[in-house]
Amino acid sequence: MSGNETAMSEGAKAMSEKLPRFHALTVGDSVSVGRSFDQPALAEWCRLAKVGEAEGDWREVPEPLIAALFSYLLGEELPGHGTNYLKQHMQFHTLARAGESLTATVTVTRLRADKALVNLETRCTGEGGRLICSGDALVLFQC
Amino acid sequence: MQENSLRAITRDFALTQDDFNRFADLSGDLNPIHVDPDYSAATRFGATVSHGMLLFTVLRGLVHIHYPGARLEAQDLMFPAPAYADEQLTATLVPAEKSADGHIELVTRITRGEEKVCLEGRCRLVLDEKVQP
Repeated sequence: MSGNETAMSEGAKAMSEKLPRFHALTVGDSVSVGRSFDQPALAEWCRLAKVGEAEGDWREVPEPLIAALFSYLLGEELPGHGTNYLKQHMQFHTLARAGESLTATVTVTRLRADKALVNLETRCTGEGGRLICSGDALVLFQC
Repeated sequence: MQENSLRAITRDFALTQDDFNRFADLSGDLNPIHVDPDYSAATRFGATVSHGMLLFTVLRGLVHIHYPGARLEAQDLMFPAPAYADEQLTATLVPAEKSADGHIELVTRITRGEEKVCLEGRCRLVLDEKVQP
């Protein structure tokens, strides 16, 4: 243990003190959330999207609600509060049905301490594990 | 840009604190930066800001209105500047050329005032040939 401590450079120590929560992250760290959106939730989404409930008539989960599962995880869980969302790329493979059990997962894929940047893989699957959305996100985590 | 601006689709709108609260309830994203004015006042933003995915929501609605039935195949998003409650925002879609296979790419943007870009992105749609003109 003491060997590790002496091996840690002064620069790295200073950086850990400066960004303690960033330095607690490890590539491969992952969190998931499960959720489903029923028909009333889709109607509420239509009102917020300003398309009007009747005109909307969404039977499948709109993509921004899938995306919101990722931003919930990034902002609240990994890395958590203090996350500054910079970039998101999403590929939608199939639609999620109203009421379907969804699982969204974010996984740390790259850490750049000099810029306090975190890259994460984002994935959402539905029932039976079918892939609904895959993608990646970039966040700033100066914490 | 000038050539494209002729075909740009725009929509002016504003979001309220009530919209932020409702999107928080709907998405489960209760981050205080979106829903707690006292907490937000002490941050570098100085006030609550919209969820990025609420901006994406309005954009997706606009896509739906202009391309009914189209499927969103891919979306890139960046959030360079915050969007505050009760401020005039403008959503813009700039269509690129439609490809032969029924796909279309759009440059997507939400701006506040002349120069603040709150959402910048690009999407790829698969058009529903049955309902497109």
